Amino acid sequence: MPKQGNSAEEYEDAFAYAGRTVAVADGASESSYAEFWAQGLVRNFVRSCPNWSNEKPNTLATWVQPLQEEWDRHIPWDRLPWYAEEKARSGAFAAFIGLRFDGTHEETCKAGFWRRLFGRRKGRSNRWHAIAIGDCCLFQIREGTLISAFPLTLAEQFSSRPVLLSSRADQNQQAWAGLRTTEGDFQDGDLFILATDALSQWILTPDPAGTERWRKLAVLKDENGFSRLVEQLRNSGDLRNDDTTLVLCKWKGANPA
Amino acid sequence: MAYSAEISRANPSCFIFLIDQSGSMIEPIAGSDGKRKCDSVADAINRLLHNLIIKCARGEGVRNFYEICVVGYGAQVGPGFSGPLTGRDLVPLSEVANSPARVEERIKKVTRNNGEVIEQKVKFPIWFEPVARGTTPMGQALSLAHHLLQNWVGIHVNSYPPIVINITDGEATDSGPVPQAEALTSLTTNDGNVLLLNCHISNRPQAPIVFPDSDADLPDAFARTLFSVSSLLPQSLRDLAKAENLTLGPQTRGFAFNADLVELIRFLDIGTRASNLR
Repeated sequence: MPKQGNSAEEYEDAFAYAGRTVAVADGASESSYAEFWAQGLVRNFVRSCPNWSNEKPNTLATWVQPLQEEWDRHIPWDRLPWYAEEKARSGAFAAFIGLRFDGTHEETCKAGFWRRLFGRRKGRSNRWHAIAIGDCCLFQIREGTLISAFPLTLAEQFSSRPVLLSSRADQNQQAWAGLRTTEGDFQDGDLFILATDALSQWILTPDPAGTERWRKLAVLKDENGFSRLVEQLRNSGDLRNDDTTLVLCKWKGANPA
Repeated sequence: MAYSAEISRANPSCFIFLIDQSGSMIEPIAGSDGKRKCDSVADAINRLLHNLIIKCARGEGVRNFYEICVVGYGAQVGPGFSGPLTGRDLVPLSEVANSPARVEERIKKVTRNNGEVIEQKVKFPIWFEPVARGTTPMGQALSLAHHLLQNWVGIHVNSYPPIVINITDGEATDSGPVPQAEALTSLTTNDGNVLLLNCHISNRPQAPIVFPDSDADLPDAFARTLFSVSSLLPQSLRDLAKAENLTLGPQTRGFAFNADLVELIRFLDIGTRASNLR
């Protein structure tokens, strides 16, 4: 959902999924061509998922380099006015989170691009791996309980100046230092929620009514329901007005739901 | 909470710069190796507009998060833009971006993340030229700002309040600044009163004072008067100043004395970095 007051073309979040991978990115609205950068990151993650098991930032710097070159080629440098050129020279920035499930499996996909179902693979351990830079978050729900939040775990940890991944290689030292990885097991029925910062912060904010907020997301059936919820939360002042993206992934065993 | 309105194209905010152009502005600014006050101020205003435009640039355009007005006061009181914007008062930021009087090339030192300092050629647009002529009709300049903003706050009732930045080197030669400043800062949007920040520059060899919370260390009656009509900094701006390693108390006013160019820019930068610009 684009930020209230902005058009759909100004939406600078991005998400993608394919095979055993899913990714969400949030282009920083104060940078230029951030939407193209965010799109490139998620598309490339699901197309050629990097192997970060050794947790070496160099692996990712290499992975991201062709995207940086692609971003640079996308900028119409020769026709930019002075301010647009200077802005673009400082690069685009995005928060990013990528999730990868191990093993081979039969994919099952339900219509509706916001939702992804993962098939089961047999004979291997069920492991997932995630990588994050910035404040897009991942939540794992098992049997009605939130069992992990990553990379942020408290609402107070969100700030207006997170470390972000840049389209300029020389701007990424802090990003590589702030890179976070994690992994875990998954099993039948586990739900994975990926969300950009405003929604993630809302999820992690204790609800005055005492209910766990992720439950409101887990029951969503389609994009319309998501749009209605976001509007309602923005209007009540509970959700910061920002581009808002949600991806739900559910492991459903051999039989897709 | 006041001073928390989101600045957007639908709800833009506004900056007015009041620039002293009296004859004494030809004297050197303190701590600047003989650079004239009028040149330092013109550089600072041009750099500030530049920064604001870059901050609001997206893709091939500039988003109109702000309207900008530059007022000069000296031999005359009136709009201070040069070039295509001559005579214009409040101008949408994108129009400012596209209408500099001219564009110079300068060398900028850029510090990279790894600490390496490199020199980069940058375009330096000029909208405002140094002028130093006549007296100091500060009251009239504040009245002009009041006149412009009276209209503006009526149209933009939900906007982040306008910020007026007055840069001067001396005492008003008209009835200003107290009654006019009080009238100006009594204007409000639903998000708070108009903010008036005063920057008093001087050739006295006295250490800069930036954002004081009392007038105890100020050197003369005029500086104390300017301090007294400067707005108390709202919490949101104090938080931004904190990010610049300035710890400010609730009695801190938007006032700077004898700020050299570096301090001046820093002071101005804080004023322009609205906390919730999206």
